Amino acid sequence: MPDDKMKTPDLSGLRFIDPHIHMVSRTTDDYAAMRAAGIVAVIEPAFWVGQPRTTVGTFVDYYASLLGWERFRASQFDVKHYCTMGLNSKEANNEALAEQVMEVLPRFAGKEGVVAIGEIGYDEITPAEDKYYRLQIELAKSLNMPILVHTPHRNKKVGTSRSMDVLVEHGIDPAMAIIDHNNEETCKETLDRGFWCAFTIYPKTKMGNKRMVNLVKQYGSERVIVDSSADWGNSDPLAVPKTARLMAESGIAREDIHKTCYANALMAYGQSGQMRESDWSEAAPGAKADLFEGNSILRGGGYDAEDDHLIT
Amino acid sequence: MSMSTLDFLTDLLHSRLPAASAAWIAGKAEAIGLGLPDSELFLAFSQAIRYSGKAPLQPSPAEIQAAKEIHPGWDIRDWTCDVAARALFMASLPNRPESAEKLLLLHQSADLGEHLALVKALFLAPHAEKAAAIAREGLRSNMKTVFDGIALRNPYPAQYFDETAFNQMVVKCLFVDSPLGEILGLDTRRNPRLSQILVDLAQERWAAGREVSPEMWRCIGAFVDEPALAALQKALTTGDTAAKNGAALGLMADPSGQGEALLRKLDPERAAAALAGNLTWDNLNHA
Repeated sequence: MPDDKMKTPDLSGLRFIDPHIHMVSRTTDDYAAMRAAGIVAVIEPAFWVGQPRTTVGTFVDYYASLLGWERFRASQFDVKHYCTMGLNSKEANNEALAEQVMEVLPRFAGKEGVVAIGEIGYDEITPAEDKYYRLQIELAKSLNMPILVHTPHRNKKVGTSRSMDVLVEHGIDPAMAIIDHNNEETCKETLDRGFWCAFTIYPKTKMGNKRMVNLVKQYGSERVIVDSSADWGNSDPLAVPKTARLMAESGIAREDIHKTCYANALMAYGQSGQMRESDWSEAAPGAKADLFEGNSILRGGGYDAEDDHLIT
Repeated sequence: MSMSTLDFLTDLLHSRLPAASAAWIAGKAEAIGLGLPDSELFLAFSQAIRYSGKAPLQPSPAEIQAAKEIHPGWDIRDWTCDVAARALFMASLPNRPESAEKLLLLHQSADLGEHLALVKALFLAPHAEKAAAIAREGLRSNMKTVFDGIALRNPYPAQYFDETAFNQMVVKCLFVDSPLGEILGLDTRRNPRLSQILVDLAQERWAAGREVSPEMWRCIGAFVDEPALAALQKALTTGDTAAKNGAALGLMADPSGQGEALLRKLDPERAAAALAGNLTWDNLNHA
């Protein structure tokens, strides 16, 4: 263990983004703790919500809640909330339902604050999963949006390679795709091929934060992204700041912590045109809501046409 | 919807946005007026913010006045460019009952900003009465910005809500600390049932040792019965300055004159201030 006196790291001034967290499954206490730990923004990918969904209406309501209610809830804690839209791989296997979901998806993909199509990819690697993965890649392409890829937990190495093969086959620039849930066995290929390489710090199953520190030591901070994927399971909404602390205690440079726990996610998802540092940095301290409660003044300042990503 | 609404909103945006952005919004509005397929309507409504931005309108006094003249109660002081752009789209919908169904579909998949525009500008849409579900859902919302968007400085509730919805809105304002004074038409829509609900609420709060908003007496004075009179008297004799003032104004509003007589007896100074017009609902902290 490091000598506390010598190594107590100075994390002051460091801010964090958790670019993969399912806040719909988390409490207000979590939001408060996250903000207190320095998390200023979160991205909530649409995913398998952990309970049965058998009709398209439940998807419509889920997508709407990510864009409305969850966004509002986060704003009460000074956390800026973004989301990604997609049909996850598990549910792609119910083809009749998947067809209907694909029909409504474009209604949500272009909304304010939607920063990617995701999380999409493979679970069991079935033909149905493959079909809807490809259809959604094309949707992202048509909207010029980044793609968040969920790589399978079983048969991970093959599944990860194949996920990237398919992206390349569809002509996706690796700089527009974030490959998530990497591990020691997959990250080299992900990085070598030019994709964003995300790691989920999820106790017991995906990636522990000590292992994460070793990976940053080995591979550096270029295109590496740390997230929690905290959800309804045994997970930790403070995984990003905790990993940052451990990195600092292990002597990893402040700049590398900044990149892996904040700046890289902002750069990757900022390509959507829907996520800018000014979204939170220009907000008055203590400003609670995205749309202020008093309705008298809004954050964000003036409008800069050149800064905007226009889709015609 | 009258041309002036569309022209007014178009001009508002034109004078604030880059020409290309304003032109995109105006072009979509025109297309919506001619009848746009659902998928394109959804996309335009969502993407409006990419062209409008979300800066406050910060309207001039002349613009504030112009809005009021176009539609009584239209208050654009706290509107933002995205709300104005989406309002333009809503007002541009063809003037037929099916347009209300489009609004309900937009509402179903709305993000936070779209929710706010839908409730704030609902009164400008054709056949707005058929889309009352949007406004009622706004009242049930836990998103306070959306609740305030329909409840405060908005002509829709007074014009379209039935008594149950209107009363629910007033009572919820008291629960979420939204000022009753900003409800448009409160003094014309208050009613005996609301008065009774509020007297019960005051007693419930006193019993729990909690504060009672002085604003609630505004809805009670005109319908004074025995329990209401007792509640007003309690507020007048035990409350803080604002409570006393609110109770005094409530008593003065009793059409039977019984309330005024009671006030003169219990607090002649406050009665004089109320009669002289020195005490108003906008001035409850008047000492």
